Amino acid sequence: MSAILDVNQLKGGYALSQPVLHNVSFKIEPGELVGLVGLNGAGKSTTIKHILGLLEPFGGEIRVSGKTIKEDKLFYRSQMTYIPETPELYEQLTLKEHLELTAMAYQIDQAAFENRMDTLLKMFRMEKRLNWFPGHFSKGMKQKVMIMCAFLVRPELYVVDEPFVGLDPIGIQSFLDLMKEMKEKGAAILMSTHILSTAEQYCDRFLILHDGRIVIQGTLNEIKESYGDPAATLHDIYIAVAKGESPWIK
Amino acid sequence: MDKIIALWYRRRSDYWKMALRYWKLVGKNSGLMFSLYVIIIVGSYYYKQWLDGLPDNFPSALLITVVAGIFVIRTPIRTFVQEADLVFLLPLEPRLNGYFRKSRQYSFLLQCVTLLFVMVIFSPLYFRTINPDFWGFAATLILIFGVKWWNVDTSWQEQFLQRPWESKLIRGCLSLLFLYSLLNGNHFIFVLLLIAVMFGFSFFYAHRQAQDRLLNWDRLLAVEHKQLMLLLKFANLITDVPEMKTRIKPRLWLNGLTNRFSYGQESVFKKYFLKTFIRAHEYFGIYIRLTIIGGIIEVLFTDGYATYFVLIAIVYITGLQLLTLWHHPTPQALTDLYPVADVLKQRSFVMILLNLLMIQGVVLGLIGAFVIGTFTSVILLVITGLFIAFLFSYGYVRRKIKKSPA
Repeated sequence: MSAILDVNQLKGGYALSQPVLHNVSFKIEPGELVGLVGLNGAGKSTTIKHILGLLEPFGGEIRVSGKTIKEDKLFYRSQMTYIPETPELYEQLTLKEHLELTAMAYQIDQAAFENRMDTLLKMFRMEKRLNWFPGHFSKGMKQKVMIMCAFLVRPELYVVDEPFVGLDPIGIQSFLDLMKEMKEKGAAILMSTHILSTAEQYCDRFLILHDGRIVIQGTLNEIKESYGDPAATLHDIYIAVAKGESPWIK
Repeated sequence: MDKIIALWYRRRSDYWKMALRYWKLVGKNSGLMFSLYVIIIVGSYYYKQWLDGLPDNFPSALLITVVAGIFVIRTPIRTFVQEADLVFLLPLEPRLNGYFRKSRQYSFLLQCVTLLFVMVIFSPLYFRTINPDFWGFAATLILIFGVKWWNVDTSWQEQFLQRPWESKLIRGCLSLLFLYSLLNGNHFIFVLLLIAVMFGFSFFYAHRQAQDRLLNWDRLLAVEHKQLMLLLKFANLITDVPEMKTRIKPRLWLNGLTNRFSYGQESVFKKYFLKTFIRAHEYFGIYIRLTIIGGIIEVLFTDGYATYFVLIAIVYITGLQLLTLWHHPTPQALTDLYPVADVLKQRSFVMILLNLLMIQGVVLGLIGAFVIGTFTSVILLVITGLFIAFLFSYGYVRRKIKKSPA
């Protein structure tokens, strides 16, 4: 099986003189949910921006479903959707218009769009807000709109940046259920988060990023084994990495 | 120097620095400057014609009183106060007298410049119908500045009042009476009497009422905010002003226009641009206002080629204003990631712009033709309107947006 996301020796950042990421390599296979964890400033968002094609790599390459963005930009973009940490919406468009515009842009056929929209609206309890403008939405509702836009498309790859903050419990549960469902259908998901307990429960594998390098990656058990303490939680390991007390950075 | 006064000076210079940056951008906007020159040149030509044909009993004094009166009575005080002052300057309130005195002086000077400008525009009318003597005009001007100062002082006292409307009403009436008596020229005693009444009002009412009252910070902030917005709103027509929070107007009655686009990738940006035009950031308001202004000018000036000129100028200016629609901020997480070709976005924008300008061109063409009243002018004007819309969209905009991707 070939990986949906293949990041190979990625070197990147905002200024050539100050690269943020150093030789970051990882793959995500179909049906995998991979957690990207690391402190603020570790390079999570930069990694995500490179994958989205909003930043150009200084070195290495990123392939999505086998192609780089340079080879075929529209194909590359059509393979993924993104849920940002801070929801950003069109002030002048209603919830329904957000969903419709997204479906049109990703060439979802109209019947499928309406079908999926109804399901998503029910899941996130947003049926009554269909003709509302984002100006009247709370942060959590805006986040729900972003999530609905992303899942409406059903792409091969979901890129998710810290989705839980501000979401109500129903929202969180619906989001987790959706991720599980899409994973089972063969999608790949990269999720950056600080909510480690949830990540431990739902992610198949982890990438621990520190100072722009992947210090360790693997399943939770593999990481525990490498850390040398089978009783340690992801939280313990994460703190140890952050303090520079883990065996991998010494 | 007193630290509080120093703070005032720093805030003024900060404001001017910011304002200057925006004014520079305004100055660089060739379309706007061009239209401004045209308005000045054409305006002065018609002004002179109008003056020459003026009957002797024309109520010049009344006209000048009303127009100058607006500028005399409207007296917002520029305090440069900021939201955070409610926390940091509040404890210093008793010591802020000097700060606010500076604000009053500044507002007075600036508003006098505006008044001077207004009066210079009126000077030909004044010399022609009221008094040909220059010194008479100069004396009038100085007295107008005087009443402006009285307005500034009283307006400041109003900040403290709980019901400023009473004072505002009296201030407005006295100012208008004063201006009219002054400009009419033969009520000298009455002018003196009014000056006495104004002083009396200040000492026995406004100042006394305001004494021992606390500053109404919310009102000060609101006035300051409103004035800042005047500049920012204007600048926002030409460039993006980060402080301008975009407000939207749903205008649901226009939804029918955008629902006509078929479902599919082809229509993504057509829908987006048209909906943005209708709802966001005054695009629609500007479009309608410019069309109405164009129509009015067409009705007023019917001789020769004026109609053609107005038609072309209005469509051109509208096009320039709508060009900013291309740069309307979009959410990165959505728009920038759409798997939609850039060409499609550019094509959609040009198409929407072309349609809007064509509609405007036809409307203005028909109004002009109706006023002129010949059948050939209908054809010629409508063709001119369509042609300029087409030329602007395809000749200019299409190339321009290719160079600056949104």
